[in-house]
Amino acid sequence: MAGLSLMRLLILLVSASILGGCAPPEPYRIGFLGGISGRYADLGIGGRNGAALAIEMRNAAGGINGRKIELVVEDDKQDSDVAKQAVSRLIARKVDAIIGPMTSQIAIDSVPLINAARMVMVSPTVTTPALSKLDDHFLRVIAPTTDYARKNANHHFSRQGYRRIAAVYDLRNRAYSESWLADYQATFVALGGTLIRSEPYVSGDETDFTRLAERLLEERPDAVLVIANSVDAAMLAQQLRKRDPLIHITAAEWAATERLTELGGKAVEGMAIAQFLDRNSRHPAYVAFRNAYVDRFELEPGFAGITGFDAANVVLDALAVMKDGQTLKQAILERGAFPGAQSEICFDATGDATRETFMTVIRDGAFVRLD
Amino acid sequence: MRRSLRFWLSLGLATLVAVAILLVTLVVLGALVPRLNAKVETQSRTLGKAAAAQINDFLASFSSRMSSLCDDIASRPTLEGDRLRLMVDAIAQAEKGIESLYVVDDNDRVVEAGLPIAHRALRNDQIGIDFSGRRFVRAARETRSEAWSGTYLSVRGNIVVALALPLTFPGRTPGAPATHGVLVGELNLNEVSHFARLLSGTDELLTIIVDRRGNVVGHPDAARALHQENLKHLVPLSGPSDAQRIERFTIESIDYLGSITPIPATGWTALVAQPAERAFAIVRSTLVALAVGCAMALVIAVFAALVASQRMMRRIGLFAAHLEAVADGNYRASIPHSGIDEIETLSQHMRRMANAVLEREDRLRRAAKVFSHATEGILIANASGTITEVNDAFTRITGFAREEVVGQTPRMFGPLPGGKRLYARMRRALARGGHWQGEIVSRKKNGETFIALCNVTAVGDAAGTPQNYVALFSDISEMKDYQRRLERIAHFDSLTELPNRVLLADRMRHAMAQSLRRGLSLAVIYLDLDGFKSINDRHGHELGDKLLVAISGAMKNALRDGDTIARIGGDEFVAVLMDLADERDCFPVLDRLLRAASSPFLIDGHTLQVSASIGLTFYPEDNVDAEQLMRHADQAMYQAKQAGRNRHAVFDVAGDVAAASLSRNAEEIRTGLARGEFRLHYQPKVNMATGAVVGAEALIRWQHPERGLLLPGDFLPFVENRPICVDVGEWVINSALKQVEAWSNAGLNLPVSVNIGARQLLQEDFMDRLREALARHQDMPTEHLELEILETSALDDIARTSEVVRACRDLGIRFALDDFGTGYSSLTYLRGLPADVLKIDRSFVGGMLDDANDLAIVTGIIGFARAFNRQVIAEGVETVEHGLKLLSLGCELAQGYGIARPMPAEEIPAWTRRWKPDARWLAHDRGSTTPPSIQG
Repeated sequence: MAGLSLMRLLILLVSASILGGCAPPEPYRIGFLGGISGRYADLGIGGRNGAALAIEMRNAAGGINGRKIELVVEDDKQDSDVAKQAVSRLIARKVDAIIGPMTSQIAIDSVPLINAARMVMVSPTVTTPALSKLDDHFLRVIAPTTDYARKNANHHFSRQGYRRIAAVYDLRNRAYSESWLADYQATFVALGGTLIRSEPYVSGDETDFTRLAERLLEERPDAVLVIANSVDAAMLAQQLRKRDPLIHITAAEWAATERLTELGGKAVEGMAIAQFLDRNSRHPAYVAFRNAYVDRFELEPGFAGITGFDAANVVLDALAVMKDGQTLKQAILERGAFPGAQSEICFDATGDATRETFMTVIRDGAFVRLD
Repeated sequence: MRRSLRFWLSLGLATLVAVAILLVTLVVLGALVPRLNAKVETQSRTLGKAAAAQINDFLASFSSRMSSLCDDIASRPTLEGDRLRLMVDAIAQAEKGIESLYVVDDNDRVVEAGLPIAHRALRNDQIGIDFSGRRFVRAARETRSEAWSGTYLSVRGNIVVALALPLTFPGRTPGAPATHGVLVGELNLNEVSHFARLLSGTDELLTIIVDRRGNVVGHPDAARALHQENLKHLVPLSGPSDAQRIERFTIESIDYLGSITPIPATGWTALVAQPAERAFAIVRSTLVALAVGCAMALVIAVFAALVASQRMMRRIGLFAAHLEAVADGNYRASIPHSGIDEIETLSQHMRRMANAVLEREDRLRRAAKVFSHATEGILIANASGTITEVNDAFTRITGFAREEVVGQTPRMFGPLPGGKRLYARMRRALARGGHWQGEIVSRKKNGETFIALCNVTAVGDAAGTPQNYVALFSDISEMKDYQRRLERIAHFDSLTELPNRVLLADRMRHAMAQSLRRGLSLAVIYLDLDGFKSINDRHGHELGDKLLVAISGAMKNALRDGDTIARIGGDEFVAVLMDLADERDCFPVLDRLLRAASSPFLIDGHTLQVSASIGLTFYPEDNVDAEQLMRHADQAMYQAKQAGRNRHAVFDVAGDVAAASLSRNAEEIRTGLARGEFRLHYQPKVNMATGAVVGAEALIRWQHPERGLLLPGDFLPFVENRPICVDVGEWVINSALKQVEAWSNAGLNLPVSVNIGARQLLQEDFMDRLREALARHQDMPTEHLELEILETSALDDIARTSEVVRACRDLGIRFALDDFGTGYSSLTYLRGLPADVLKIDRSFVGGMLDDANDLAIVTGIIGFARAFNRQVIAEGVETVEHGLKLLSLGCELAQGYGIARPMPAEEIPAWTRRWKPDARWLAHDRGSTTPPSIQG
């Protein structure tokens, strides 16, 4: 019988009256902020899954000092107002820390709130340099875009031999895309390349990728640089290749999720893209993580998954070692280095971490590492 | 563990109720909970099936639409112009929930897209894009059958599922080759969430649809379906072939109970769950109600138990108080009413016990009263002979205080004459029969000895082993003294100290027997003083008495040793001379006697001188009895007086023939009995002091046909010691009984006494005959019969007589000793003869006013009766003076001619009504100080 057995009922009755005053200790509450619906959802869902997995694994191991951890998920819908409300709700719920957000624009909008509330926010994926070098409550397990953009520019100029680049970028994640593009341009131009066109667009249902593609191809660039989410990148690639089947397409790390290859199909074949994740890694920690993730979600962990996992583990490890009278931020920064699922995460004094990137190219629907 | 009865009662009752409640609860739970569980499960299953069916229908309907479209497209020969677009647009527009339709060519490129009107503006974005990255499309193409995608977010950000169907579509111109492509339809799953919301209805039910991976695709909160939440770790999902199951699971910290129902079309799962708390709300509320009910019942039960036990305790307390009162000696404490059978019964037992104790106490008190007020001294010793208790009479008699003797042994009374043998006898008697009676000489505290008549009884335990000895004794020293004095009085003349007639008769009997044994003669001498009356007349009795004393002493000195001289009347003496070989041997003695009698005596200044006349006869020459011998000697004395006094004459034996003519024949009496010639006359007995008629003595009369009415003396002496005497006795008893019964029936209760001879009393069958006689007169109270034993006759066999007397007394019959004081050993044997009444012989009463001897005897008998605690009655009261004298001596009962002559029975009732005692008697009574015990 799946229902209540007689004995369980009696025990329930007795325990209900006896154990009223012996509730288990209050759990730690960790907030999650990310776009988990809409076009940006693959990043948000990946981050959330990673964080959720970290917490589930920690709970399975007994929690932190006997206390369980609870994940409180908020959807920012990649909208500033929605995000601010979500952050306020999390602060009101007195979560111990917030994992997120997943995009820089939302981070820019949220940081004033969490600083005011002295709420530690650890982002898995936000790379905007706008939040760099600030001794605030915002931390991240990733480096600012500057490094990555520069690396991409070098790669494109030196290895791929691109000289004329047309770029398209999403204004919805302007904090990321603009800075990424600016850093890229600085390096690329410095190297001798030319950004012949930069097309901003606003991601949404009404986005006219056909038209966008036509404009990008107007001046026949060597390559089109896409600074967009994976869905937009795939859709744009489809339109670009439809018009010019041989055009080189490259994209910022943001798009480097499994959705890109799924939706892109042949259109993204040969696309060069930088990755925060070495999908071919044989590092035992990574293998274990990946297996756990696939087992749990029946999905490959994208970079959002692993960074979400890492960000959550940083918070959990810090909570575990936090001393009396110490803030979480102090605990994180005091420790400094944390074992990531793929590589060690080292925070600098302002809470920025470094994270390696790997240049990949899509071959036969899979990311293949170049270097 | 000791606790109050109340505690145990309460605990017992409460436990009983608690167990009962627990049993009822278990039974209710055992019956109720499975039913409630089953109800919840059934509801879950039903809802789960409904949800699964609905989703399945939704998907199947979509699939069916897509199939029809495929068929429709394939069936067309050509698809000129916009034909294909119109077809897919129409479906995309008409079919709610379709996000977009794609027709994919054999190169995985989208050749046409069907969109709802709202999204057609961007159709060009769709045309030409590559679908090779979508695995389900490849699957449909390779398997040539429909293939469902996993759920994913569409480019519009909606959660969708896509269905790919192999599609063969014709070319745009006739003859153009058909293309083997794929039709892909994207289905917006908002509709699934809508279903879930509808199904959930209220917030009580949670309906979630998850896809194969465990991702939420339908949720009452539609937004949640977009979050790609994976519930695989929370909910045990069903496999494709799994049947519906009921499971418990936790989502967002809420415990759910619900059904897990597979959706066959896509391998999805429908969860329809209710928070367990709510699902079992009824169970829980039932349980809570039960628990509260049980708790209340228990509280009431405990309360009731406390109240009930308190009430019971109050009752038991009252009973206990009653017990305590009884224990404290208040045996009459009233029994409290408890209303509890058992306690009532206990109370009744307690009451019975108390009554028994009261009764026993009463008996003990009476016994103690008897003990302390007994005139007999009582001494109680334990088995070892140690004295444990004595009574007041003991102290009064012996002078020893209780404290002085308790703890001592009877040896403290010192070595007693014959003590050793006496104690040995006593021990033997006690060992044999538990009782000893006898006289002992003991010593008082002041050293005086006294004679105690002692009764010792051994008091044994249940086994008969003696535990105590109880000795009752009375000081009979005074009685013994009386006895001696009475014997002296009875046998010796108080004036001259010579033996009297009684002793003389005795001595004569001995002497006669001895004479026969020795073959020697004896002489009986009758001596009468001549002229003594004139001395009395001239000088007064006092001087006469002194002369008698002097002459007596002289005559006594004149006799030989062994001879006896007795005074039998005023100046008449009888001497018996023993061991005469020859009659002449006595003559010198006769001379000395005559000289002694005729010697002059100087008394009070007067010289007085008388002479004597002597008659004598010899035995056995004169072979008659003692009485006759004296009579013969008297006759001879008369002759001597006739011959001139101061001489002796010898009785002429040969010339004595007179008596023979007087013999009577016993045969004549027997004839008289047979003829009914005998009568009983009754002489009343009265109490002179009170005037009460206390009884009557039956006296026999013979109505002789020739000689008239004869008195007993006229005929009884001739039959004495003959068998006819017994017949006469029996006739007397029977007649007397008949008369008493007649009187009793007539309302006159008058005891009757009957004279009974020794011969009759000692008949072997006397008792049997007496019982028969009594049985014939059952209306007669036996205590109204009194038997008067002629004392002298009783003395022949005192033991046998005593035995008969006791047997009669057991029947209620009283006994009197007739003619008391005339027998020789009467006093000695009186103790063994338990007669109730002593009768003072008429001869003493008749003489007591003149004769000091007779008065002394009467006084003695009365004192004797007082000492022995017997009734005493005087015979022969002929005058008022007799009565007064007797009253002054303490004797109140009397009979005699002075009161009434014997009379026929029929005159008695009238006489008893008529008779009044003399006023002087009554006057005396008012001044009397006579002890009551003597009045009987």
